[in-house]
Amino acid sequence: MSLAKLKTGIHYAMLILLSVLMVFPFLWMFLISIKPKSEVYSGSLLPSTFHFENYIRVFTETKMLLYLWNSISVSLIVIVFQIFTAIFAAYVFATAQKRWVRYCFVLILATYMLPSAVTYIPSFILLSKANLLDTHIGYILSELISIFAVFFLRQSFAQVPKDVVHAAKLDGAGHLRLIFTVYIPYCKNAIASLVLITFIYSYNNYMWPSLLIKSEENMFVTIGLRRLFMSQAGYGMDFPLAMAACAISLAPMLILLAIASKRIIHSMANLYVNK
Amino acid sequence: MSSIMLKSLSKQYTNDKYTLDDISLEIKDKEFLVLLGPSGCGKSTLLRMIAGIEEITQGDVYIGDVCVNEVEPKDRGVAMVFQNYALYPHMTVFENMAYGLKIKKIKKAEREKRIKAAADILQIDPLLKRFPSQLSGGQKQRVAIGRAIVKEPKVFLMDEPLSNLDAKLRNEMRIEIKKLHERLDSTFIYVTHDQVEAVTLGDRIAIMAEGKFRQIGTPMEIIDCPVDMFVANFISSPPINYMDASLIQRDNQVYVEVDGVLLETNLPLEVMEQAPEIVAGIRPEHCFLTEDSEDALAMEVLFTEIIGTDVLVHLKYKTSSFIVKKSFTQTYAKGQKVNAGISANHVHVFDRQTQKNLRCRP
Repeated sequence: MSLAKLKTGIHYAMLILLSVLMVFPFLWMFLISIKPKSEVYSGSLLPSTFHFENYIRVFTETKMLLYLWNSISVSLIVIVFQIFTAIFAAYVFATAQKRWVRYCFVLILATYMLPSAVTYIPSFILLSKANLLDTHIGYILSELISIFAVFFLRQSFAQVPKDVVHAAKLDGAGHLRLIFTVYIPYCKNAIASLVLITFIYSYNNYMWPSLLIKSEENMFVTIGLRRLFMSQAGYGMDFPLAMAACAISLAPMLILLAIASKRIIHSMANLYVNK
Repeated sequence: MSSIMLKSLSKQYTNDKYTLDDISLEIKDKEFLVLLGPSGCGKSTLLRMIAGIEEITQGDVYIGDVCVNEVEPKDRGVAMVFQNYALYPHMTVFENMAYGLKIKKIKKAEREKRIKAAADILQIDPLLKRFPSQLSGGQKQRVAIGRAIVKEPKVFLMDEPLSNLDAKLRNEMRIEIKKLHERLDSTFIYVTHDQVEAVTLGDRIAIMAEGKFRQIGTPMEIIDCPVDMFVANFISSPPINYMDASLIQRDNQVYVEVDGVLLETNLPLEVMEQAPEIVAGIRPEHCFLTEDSEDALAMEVLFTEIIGTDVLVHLKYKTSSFIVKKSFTQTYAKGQKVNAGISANHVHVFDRQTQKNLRCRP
């Protein structure tokens, strides 16, 4: 066997191993979600009888539907604001020639390197002073600007050819027109991927909302799931129900992935791989 | 009036080096001026400063009678064609051409009329609904020119518009641009590093090097009397042959002597007074190969390069190389001994020290 073939073989073996490692927990989750409660600790991976009614119970016995609605609607609003603010910030950072603007950008990036936990306490105090704890508006306010989004868009705005921008300027385009008729259409793929990434991030966000949101009617999926685990802890946990809820919470992500997997991979590769 | 005046224009990117150094030039109304120079000489920077997309470090740019230093690019009445076309990739050809007109709030009917007219001139009518990615290089360049035409500018600025095209297309487009200039009656400033383009297109050529003008003149003037060795070399393709030589006076006439071969010149007798050390520059097309060894230099063939119906014979003379351009009538073998003759009155004489042409001396 040639060296090249051996190399490909090893690559594939690694990929398969990693894939199994990644997929197994999900598979396990799904299998538990269709088991009867008594079989959770039985030791066999497969259930003896299939109990898909666990999925129906998620909607009848828990407030999962409300959590889903909260998560998705708030995430969508967050996306709109983050993209909107990122577009203008990215335009400035991608085009301004002045040195102090570049320093500003570095400074802003530096805050991105801070552990997000550092900002929890000041943000919490600010929101509590504004009487916005435990509200969606409070959460949205704290997520208006995403430094990641600014950085991401700046990188793709910087790839718009200078001469195209010059041509537009000679044609008479001002800043706003440049943004809306040149930069945004040119970077529409990047913006589409940013929408996806922002949605995934916001939908999965757990720590900060868990500090902020207390009342059940405002809860997001992530906190709701935790509550599901906690609420039953005293009585012996209903694992199949919890796992079914987990599986349902994944559904929006899976649908997104199915629609846009190519775009997500492409944008990630674009961002991190130096071409 | 769309004359252009550059007054002591300078551009400085870093603190110690001038990209453009105190440039002054007057470009007449409706003139076709070519900025010619090697890459990095500042010619594109100069063009961009006229367009207003590059900041001016020092000096003034006048278009007509107005100093446009502080005027926005869009209000300068210029249109620019870029080397890499710079079309808007997400717009159709029609939209590309309409973009600037829309911003200027020109009525739809008028817009369509102008685009139709430009498309007719450039023969891109069938392409109007296509996107730039569906066009070939030549078509893109036509669209880029079309986008400039529809704006009906006073001044056209072209930044190496043909350098991304293949040779045949380049020849065609060159002629088209020449025709366009005659037809549009506008001032053209054209940047190139290709001396053939410069000579065929330009009413005047400004040769630049290291941020300064070396020579400004009609193609005839520059070919006939290049001011220095740089210009002589740059305007010549294939490169001019330089040979060590000396000046000799006989019967009230100045001759150049290269290893015993005398070449007639029309230099005035006064040059003999300073007895300068000289370098003779002879263009490859002013040389010939001959059987006759008298009045010719014995050389050895290195290789031949066939260009269309002509051939460049690369020769070795002592330690230096020498090129003869002639029509392609016979082949030469490597190592073959030949005699190279030089046509009379076609020798340029340069001062070895200053590199200046003795004939053009002020």
